Amino acid sequence: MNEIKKVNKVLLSDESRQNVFADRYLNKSRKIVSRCFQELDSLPGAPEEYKYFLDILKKVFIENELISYKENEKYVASFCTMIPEEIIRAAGARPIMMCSSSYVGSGAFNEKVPNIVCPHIRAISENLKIDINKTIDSCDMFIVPVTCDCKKILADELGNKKPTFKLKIPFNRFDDDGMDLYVKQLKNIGTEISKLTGKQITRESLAKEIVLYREVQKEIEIFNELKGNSEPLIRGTHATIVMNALAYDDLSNWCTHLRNLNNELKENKEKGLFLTKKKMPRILLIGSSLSFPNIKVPLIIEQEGGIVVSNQTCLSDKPYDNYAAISHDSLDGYFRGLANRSVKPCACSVFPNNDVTVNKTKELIHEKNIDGVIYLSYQGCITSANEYEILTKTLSNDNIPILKVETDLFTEDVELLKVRIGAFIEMLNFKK
Amino acid sequence: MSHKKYLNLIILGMNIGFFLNVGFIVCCVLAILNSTNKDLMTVLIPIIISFASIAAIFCVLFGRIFCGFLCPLGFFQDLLFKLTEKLHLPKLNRDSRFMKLIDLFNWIFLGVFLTAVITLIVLLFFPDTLSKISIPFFIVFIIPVVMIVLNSMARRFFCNVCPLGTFIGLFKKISIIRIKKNPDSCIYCGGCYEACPMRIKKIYTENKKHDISSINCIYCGECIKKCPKDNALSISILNKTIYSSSKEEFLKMQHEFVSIPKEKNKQK
Repeated sequence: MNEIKKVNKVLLSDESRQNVFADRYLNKSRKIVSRCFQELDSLPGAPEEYKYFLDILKKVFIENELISYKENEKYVASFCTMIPEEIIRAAGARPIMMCSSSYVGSGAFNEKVPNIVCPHIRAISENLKIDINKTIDSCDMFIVPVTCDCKKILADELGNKKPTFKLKIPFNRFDDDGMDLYVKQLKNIGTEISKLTGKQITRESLAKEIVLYREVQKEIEIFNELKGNSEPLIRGTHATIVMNALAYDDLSNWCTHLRNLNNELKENKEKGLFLTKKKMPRILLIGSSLSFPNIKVPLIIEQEGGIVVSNQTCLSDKPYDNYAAISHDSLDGYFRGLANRSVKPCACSVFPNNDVTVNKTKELIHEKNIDGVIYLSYQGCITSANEYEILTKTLSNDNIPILKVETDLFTEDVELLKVRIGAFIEMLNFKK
Repeated sequence: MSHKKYLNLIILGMNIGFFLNVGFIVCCVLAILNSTNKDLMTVLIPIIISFASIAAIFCVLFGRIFCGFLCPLGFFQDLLFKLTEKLHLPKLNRDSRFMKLIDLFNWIFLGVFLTAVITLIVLLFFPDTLSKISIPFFIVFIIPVVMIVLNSMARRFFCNVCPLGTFIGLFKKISIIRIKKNPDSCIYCGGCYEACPMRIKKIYTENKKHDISSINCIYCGECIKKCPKDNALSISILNKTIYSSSKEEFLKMQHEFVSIPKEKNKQK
């Protein structure tokens, strides 16, 4: 291998070597994604409207470009759901969720990035080094909420490419000074984006976005209710794809298609067209973020005969559950309300108080008749390990089985996961 | 909706009862001052005392609900704040240092108020010295102006330092009205804390106790209006819930509060 590298160095100039490198990785990325699409197709019972959402992801990951709805549209990439989308939209830009895109780059720079590190950070930073991801290139600005130490480094790396804003997150939910600082930063972000687009944030424009976002949240709530129906109408993996597509799509467009999907599912419910009539173990998926090419966990759960009733990971149901409570009718009041909505009730493991996660999990178990909980965590993440410990303590009192799945973005451990998750689902079946 | 109707009825009843009571006391006092008949005094003074004690017992039993719904100054402040809100001015930032200062002022004002009341009562026995006391004009003028300016930036600002309110609040443990929280269904969204005009942080941070009533709480119900969870916050009298939070109400109120600007309405 080393010899080949040496030969490459001798034969090719820097630029052409980079091109060969990029092409190779682009092909690899397409291969991985198309394999993922194949597996998705093999899962039966997808609704018709679902194709729209799949097409968006195909466009992003296979054609390697973003769908634009307007001319000269500005994209602002956010690396966490803790940024209120309304502010970006009110300033005239389109938010793109870049929580983690393709993981092809992982492992290309083993010498520079340590082995056990958050796979998301690894994927993004290594993709940046290979420089093949057009979706990242087409963004005009990055916002990186500093939720952990890795993200500080990531923000610096991104800052070399495009203007990057480091958003400091309050230490805990009850930190007043931190919250004031957070609101101040959000205002700064607003002015920064409006410099890009030339559109100022006014009270009216922000109010319009808040109303739109609220409508979308209501639609998502209906979707979640249909998803949690006692007889399954849609598979959790398909629902994950639907929610993931929002990361790269325009909000209002996405919402109209979700409304169509909801109507289709409602019709199916009235006609009695359910996925299956046999009882499947209902599973709640919680934990770290789960974004498109890496959807092996819900896929395996449903291949092994379970059904994901609720997916409480970032980029799925989690960020859309809480409505903004606005208590003062001014621009400042709107900012404060949005900041409160996006940070305080966020069931993220980076906050020292895990009551939110525990309460939410208990409520969902009760509401949706959950049989078992699967906790998704990634290698090298200490905060989620801590959260898992607290969760197991409370759930064991209620006699709800919980399984921790620690994995990374690669597909190498799929067989291993199949055995573990398969055994868990069999146990749930046996319990019934 | 039924909760809301009951609450409105209760508040209306309290308002009418309380002001009839106070009005009656004032009438009796005026009657005594304007007549020279000494028999009238012997009849009226016990009546005044009994009615005043009714008002006092009300304040002790129902706590600072007086501040929330009966106080005329509170009503004036609400009106003023609603007017300034129409101008969409920014709210006063609740800096923690400023908050500590306000807390300190609260107790200082209470001390000043109590000593003033006691000296007045003592001075009643010396009518000659009472007539010589005069309050400087600028204090009478400046205090309301400062209060009006601050109040237009923060809802119910004066209530934060009101000595009478704090004094009533001291009887918190005896009062039958309580504000309750269900910590298990709380999602810690901070809506209640943001909306609270008295800046009580306990509503938001409490995660074990159910009873969260505090000296400062004026039972205005703002926190309950901004709570998106069913039955997470509630006001109860004698352990009977009279008003509790619900998601439906929350969404309805938010919809009325933040709506699409006028341009779109015109197009429709």
